[in-house]
Amino acid sequence: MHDATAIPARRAFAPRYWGVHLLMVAAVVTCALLGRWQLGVWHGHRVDDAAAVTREPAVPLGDVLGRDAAFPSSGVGRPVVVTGTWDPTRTVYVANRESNGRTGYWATTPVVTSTGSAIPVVRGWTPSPRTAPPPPRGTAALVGILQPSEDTGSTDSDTHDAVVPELSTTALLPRAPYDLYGGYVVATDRSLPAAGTSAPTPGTAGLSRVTVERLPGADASTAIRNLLYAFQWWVFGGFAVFMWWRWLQEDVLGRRR
Amino acid sequence: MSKLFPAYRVLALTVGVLLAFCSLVALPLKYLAADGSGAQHFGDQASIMWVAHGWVFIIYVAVSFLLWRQTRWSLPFAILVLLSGLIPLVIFYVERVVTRRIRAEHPELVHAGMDP
Repeated sequence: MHDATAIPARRAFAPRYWGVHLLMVAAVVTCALLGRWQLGVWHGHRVDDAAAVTREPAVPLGDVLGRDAAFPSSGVGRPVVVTGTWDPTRTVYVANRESNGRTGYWATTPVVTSTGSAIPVVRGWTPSPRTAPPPPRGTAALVGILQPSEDTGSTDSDTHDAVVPELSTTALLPRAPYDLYGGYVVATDRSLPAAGTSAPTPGTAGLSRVTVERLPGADASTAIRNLLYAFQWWVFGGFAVFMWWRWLQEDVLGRRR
Repeated sequence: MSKLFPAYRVLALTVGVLLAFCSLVALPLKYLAADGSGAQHFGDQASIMWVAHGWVFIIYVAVSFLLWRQTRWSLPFAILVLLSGLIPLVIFYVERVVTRRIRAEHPELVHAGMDP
């Protein structure tokens, strides 16, 4: 075909083709959104899977973490039963904790267990140590989610006040007359597993609930089907553009492949 | 591209069977069968075939597109062929129409591997 008689590109913008162009855009947008949706489903399943360990029945603390033991990876996020005595005098407030978009503190009080070692219990979130409820005293019995000690090396600007930058058992040891477990628990209001026991004393009254953040990662194969679906949708959207382009080039503008 | 038309037919029938199975057997069993029954469990497990349908459908669309380039069908007919893999049972009818048209209008595509 002579260049002089070649169909000009602006023919592609003729009104008769607007419907097809619109159809292509609609197809691409639909595929992009469907792919995004499936990606979200995949991610949601993985988050759910990661939190599954926190829904298991609670076991005694000593079954998971020994008083002198290193923190086991299988203990992350596990519900454990903590029993002992509160030590309100060694309450600390862990700084820079987020809750519902606000920054505040975790009110943390150690519980001395029958082994003689104590484990810090994050009772809840408070906007300021001054307005926090007084720490509990007496017997403690609660179900808490086990977390490993935070050891990012943050320095405490004042080691004599009750505010600490992170919940690190190594940093708290100098303040305590007893040994500390290699981790801490986040208190929950769950009832104790043994039948016939009295109500738990988690010390959470007056404080906001803390969301457990350190959780085991989800298995790589979790919800892989949804990831494949997302990929399929995007491939399909891309192919729709390819088909539209080839139709435009060959059928509308007469340019043979 | 002499294998194009046979490939189209195989893919069309495969897509048709997969979509019919997924939408008319697996889906109803999964959502309508009694909770926890063997039938419902089968429907749930069989839903993995949707993944197979998705991938075979993409290949079907690619092959149908190439066939369209060879046959110069109108745009509306081409879109019908492409989308017929998404409505249960429609593709079986469309495949018949495509086969009839190709045998009539493009016999060169039908005789795979034979010299003219």
